[in-house]
Amino acid sequence: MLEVNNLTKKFEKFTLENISFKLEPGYIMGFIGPNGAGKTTTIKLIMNLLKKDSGEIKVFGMDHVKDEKEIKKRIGFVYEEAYYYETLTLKQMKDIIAPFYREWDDKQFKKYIVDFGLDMDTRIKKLSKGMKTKFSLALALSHKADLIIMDEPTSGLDPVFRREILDILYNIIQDEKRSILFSTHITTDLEKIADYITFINKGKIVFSKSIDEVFDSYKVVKGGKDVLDWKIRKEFIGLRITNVGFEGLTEDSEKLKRILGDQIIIERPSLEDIMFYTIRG
Amino acid sequence: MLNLIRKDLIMALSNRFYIISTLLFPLLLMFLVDFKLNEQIIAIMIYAMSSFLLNLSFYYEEKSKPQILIQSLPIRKREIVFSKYLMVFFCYLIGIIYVGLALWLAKFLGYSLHANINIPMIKITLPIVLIHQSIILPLSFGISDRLANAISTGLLVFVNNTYLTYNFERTSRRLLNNSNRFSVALIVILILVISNIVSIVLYENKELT
Repeated sequence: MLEVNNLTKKFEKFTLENISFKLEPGYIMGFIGPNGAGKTTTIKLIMNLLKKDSGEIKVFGMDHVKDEKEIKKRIGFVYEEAYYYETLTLKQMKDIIAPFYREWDDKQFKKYIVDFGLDMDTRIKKLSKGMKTKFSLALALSHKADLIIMDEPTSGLDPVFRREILDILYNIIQDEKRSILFSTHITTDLEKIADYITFINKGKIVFSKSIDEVFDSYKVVKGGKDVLDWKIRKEFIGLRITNVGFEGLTEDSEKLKRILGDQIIIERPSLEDIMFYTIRG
Repeated sequence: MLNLIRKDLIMALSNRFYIISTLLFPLLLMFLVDFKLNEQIIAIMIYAMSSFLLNLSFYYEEKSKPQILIQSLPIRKREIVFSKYLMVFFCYLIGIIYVGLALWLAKFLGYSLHANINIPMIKITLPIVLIHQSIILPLSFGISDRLANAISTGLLVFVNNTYLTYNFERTSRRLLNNSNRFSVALIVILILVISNIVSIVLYENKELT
């Protein structure tokens, strides 16, 4: 469905380096990382809004530049910022976008508009960020796209609508033909629906694994400060020491269990824990 | 490609203030010259109308970042460029028709006009509009819509002043006499083709950060 191999893009102050990941049909991939990690740049490169320096991007088995038009017919996109003509109404904007898609389903679109509580005569500039995201989502889901690319779609949305979006996305992939690339820094959303997680930091991939593999690989270890000597410390990817003890992320919890036994508690981390400790160290 | 032209028309019609101002321009000009219209004034009306209509699409592009949206749609970048060049002809046609209607209205209201739209006028205004946009469009695609819009307005004022300063009929006759006619057409086509190629190269390499 989507294959990115050794993608590199250099800017004056930032480099996206050797990005590789693969998304198969029927899955949701969470694309996580802190602000400025390179998530939006990667998405812009996939959408051919930026020129890559090297590497390969294949969408539906086709080259993303050579077969750009064919590919984009089958992609639905939701960007963090809504790049619409602000003075137009939702109806006028829909009338501009819909004719570009052969598979446009107006009935489906109207259903989303009703479900999301949008008024087609409202001007885009009068919409809140959340309403604009709802509109983007309605557009992205109304032309039978096989791949949906979402860049921070849930930021700025209330928890109720965020949950609704996740339910919609979960239903979309049930036919096992469609996939979703979901970039976000709100990792709790992904824990509910993602099958794969690709973690990017400072322009480099930290990992790209199934969510089960991620939670099998990493563990949060808690214990008293007295057990922390230099040998133990180097087993942690990141460590946080407080007055009462420590908490850290490790990839080898078994080794720590063998050495420290009952002196430590081993817990399943959240994606936020993994992101936090990996970035902060 | 027609969808893009349709998009530009939807946008143009949505800005009532700009579209009304544009439509009022020839009528205002007629009042200003007290309906003593000569071919120079009519040519300026056609040229200005075409340019205003085309500038309207840049006006929206510079206000926000819709190029990211447009380039994410299933359309090739070169089609986006071609559509703008097609719009030049389309806007020129609208300009001719509208100015024609305005002149007809003036005659209908009893004003006696000493000039009308004719073939020599089209032969002189069309190359000017095409050369004007051949300069503006690469700037718009390669650098910025804001700059393109500013230069377009400056160029419009400059060309109109030049038009008013020099004798329109003499210039037209000199440019469009039998020996010059084909070379003028050839030069205009060449400029248009070069401009189109430059716009495509610039736009295909433009990065939407």
